[in-house]
Amino acid sequence: MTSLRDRVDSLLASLARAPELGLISILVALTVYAAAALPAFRTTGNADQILSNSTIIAILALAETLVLLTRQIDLSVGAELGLCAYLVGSALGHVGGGPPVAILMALGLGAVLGLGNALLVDLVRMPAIIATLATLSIYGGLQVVVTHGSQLYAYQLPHWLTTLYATKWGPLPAFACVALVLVVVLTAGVQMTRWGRDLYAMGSNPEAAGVTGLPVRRRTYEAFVACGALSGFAGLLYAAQYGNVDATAGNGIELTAIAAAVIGGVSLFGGSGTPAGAALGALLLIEIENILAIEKISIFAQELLQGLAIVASVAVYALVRRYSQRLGARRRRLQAAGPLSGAAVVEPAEAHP
Amino acid sequence: MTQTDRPPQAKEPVVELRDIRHGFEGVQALRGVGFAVAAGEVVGLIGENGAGKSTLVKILTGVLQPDEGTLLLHGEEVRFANPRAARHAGIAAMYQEPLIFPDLSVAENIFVGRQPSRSGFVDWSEMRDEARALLQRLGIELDPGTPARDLSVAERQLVEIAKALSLGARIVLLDEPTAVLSAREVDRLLEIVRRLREQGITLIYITHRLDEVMQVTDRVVVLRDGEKVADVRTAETSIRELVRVMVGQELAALEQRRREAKPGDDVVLAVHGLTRYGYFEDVSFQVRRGEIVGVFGLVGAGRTEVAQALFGIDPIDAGEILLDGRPFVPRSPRHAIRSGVAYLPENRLLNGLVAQLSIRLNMTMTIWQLLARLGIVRERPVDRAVDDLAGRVRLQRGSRRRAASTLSGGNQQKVVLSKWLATHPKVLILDEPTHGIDVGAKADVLRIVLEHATAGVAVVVISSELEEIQDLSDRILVMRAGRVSGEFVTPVEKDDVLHAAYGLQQRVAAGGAG
Repeated sequence: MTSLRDRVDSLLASLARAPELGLISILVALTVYAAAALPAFRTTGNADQILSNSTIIAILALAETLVLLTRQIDLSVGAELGLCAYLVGSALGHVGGGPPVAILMALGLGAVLGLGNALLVDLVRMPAIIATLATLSIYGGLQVVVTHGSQLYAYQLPHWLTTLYATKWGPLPAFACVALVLVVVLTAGVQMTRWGRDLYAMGSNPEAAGVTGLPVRRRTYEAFVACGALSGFAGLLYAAQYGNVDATAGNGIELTAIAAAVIGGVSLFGGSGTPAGAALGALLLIEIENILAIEKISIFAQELLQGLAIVASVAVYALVRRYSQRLGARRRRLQAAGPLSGAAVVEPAEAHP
Repeated sequence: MTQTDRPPQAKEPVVELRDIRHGFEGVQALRGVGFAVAAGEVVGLIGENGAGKSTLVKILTGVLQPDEGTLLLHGEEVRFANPRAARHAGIAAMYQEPLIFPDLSVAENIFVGRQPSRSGFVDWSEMRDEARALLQRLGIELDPGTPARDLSVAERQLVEIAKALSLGARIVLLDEPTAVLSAREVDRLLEIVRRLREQGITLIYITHRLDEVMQVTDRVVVLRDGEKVADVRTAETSIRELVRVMVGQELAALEQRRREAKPGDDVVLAVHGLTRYGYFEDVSFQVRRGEIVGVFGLVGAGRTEVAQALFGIDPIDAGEILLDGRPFVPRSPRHAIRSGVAYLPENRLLNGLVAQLSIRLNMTMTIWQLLARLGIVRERPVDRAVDDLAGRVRLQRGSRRRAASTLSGGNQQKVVLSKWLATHPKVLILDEPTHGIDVGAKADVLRIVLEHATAGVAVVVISSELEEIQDLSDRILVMRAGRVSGEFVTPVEKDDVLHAAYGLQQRVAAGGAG
């Protein structure tokens, strides 16, 4: 009886500490089920496709995570992706260039766009949700202007870029390798450096971060700029994956990215979540999409399911967190239970949440 | 961090304030306050709300700058332009509700922004070890890995202290830390205060609770209306003395006015041979207009039971009660209220306050019928009554529509008291009115009692605090085992009252009444 309860407690406690574990088990269960039920799912090609197709969403979710951790939000990542895909793609088409040049251009342009967001948030003091809603329109509008209603075709792009999507590095698709490297780098960045810990602290309690003397303004700039740079990089991969880039490239993709991050356990209230969780969230969304496509279920049902996945995951995280807090309270009560001194004057405690 | 073994007796002042003045929008919060604190000394800073304590804390922590006066640190004049400058100088403040990072661990909360690192990467195990060592040195039993979200307010305070010390603070200000803590948590905090003193940390302890001051401080500085009115060694003073210094003038003036008022000799309440078998027997006493009668006795002596009988809660087996000379047989509390008797019960949470109801409803529930027209309670008369009562009892500002449970103990007591004052009683019976409330509220309650007595109300105060009754009452009635065992006109020797209460002929051990 008690041992079962203890086991449930410790399970939920570890879930509260590392929500990725829950996500991984769901992913494994879904994969095992789909592999058993659907022959078309079992092929190596399909596995590669799921991994590759997740990459762009995963990178955007990673970008978004950096901003979400600080209790901000960036709605413009899709527009940044689209603008960078077109501009970097055309630049490469006109003057050519190898991967280093392309990556630097994408990161650089994205960083500039991210800086625009940061300036609005810091200098103009706009709430991030409004500021980036504005830049979503602005960057999206710029995309329409620069494309002149035309589009970029695959033949205009360098050969190394258009073949990248189908390339395999060892057992894994190149795209998946890129995503994996970014997850590792960002995990190290946010978990193991003071820079990353500052992001968590800021999101966890902005007031305390200020009082403690953390470089809050600087970190805000850095988070938005890094988010923009990663979105720009995702734009380069977008050009590689689809070949054709037009004025609508990246439209609405920011919502999927935020959904992936949230499903992966990144809190919209800042201070909690991990890059790995966000990437796994993207993987889960794409895998569901893949299964539904194999089952020939309509695209609208896909969106419905994505919405339900968001609701379910947020609810589960909230419940697990509340439960672990109650565990903490119980632990305190147990500690407090002891011989009470005789005539203690007990002032009724102020109610605190 | 260096560990200096400076003896706590070291005499050179670490902090010295000289003639500090500060005003804000025409209100002079500090009018030339000066005192010095030696290394390793614990100084209590007390005073009523508005005495200037918070302003002083803000000046010491660099939040405010003094208009005039100097601040010396280790003998050198300093001026803190901002909180960071004060922190840099080794001064840290801990407030009631510390700011923590709920998503970070205890260890990281302590070291945030300066986590131990090795070649650019945070060294988690090193950080945890350092945090554990620090917490151990302070005697704080907390796992450094616990997420701060799971900590109680008391534990958050301890983490805040640990953080301040690891930042090199040598002077720590504790700003009313215990107001939100349970008795057990208070003990733990005081233990840590002692430990800090042993380690040579200088502490300024701001509180409303004088028992804590007596327990933990070396010296007490009392502020009143922005001025220092006392600066004494704790060992050479007492709670009674401190209360007198804090609020004495006002109460003394009220006392004076009451004695001069002389509302007359009419007996309002006369009790003859009142008996409820098994609880009290043959209790007789009289209370005149404007008189304050204190009732003292041990718990179980029958004091509360007599009051409850007078208020119509408990039945009477024998005896007679005269109210304004006419026989009065209290049938129910409702009847008693209508006859002009009000009774503030002993336990405000159990019997006095409907904690979930709003403050305004609690304050006016005894007079709803008067405020209602055709059975409907109207808003405006209630608001007017609430404003009037709140002014009379000096209730803390804020919305009156909040639940009464959100108030501090002292303010809850004021709410319950206003409920009874609203009935305009002829006889006001108060059962342990100052039990478990802070000094400021205590003074307000005493003031209200004096004011109503001056206005002619006959007041009965039941209390276990003999000193308080001695100061307040015209006469003291002592009960023992259900009977009146003594009646004294004040001033009276403490020992005489205690003898009557214990039923002893010989002197009892000093302080036996607790």
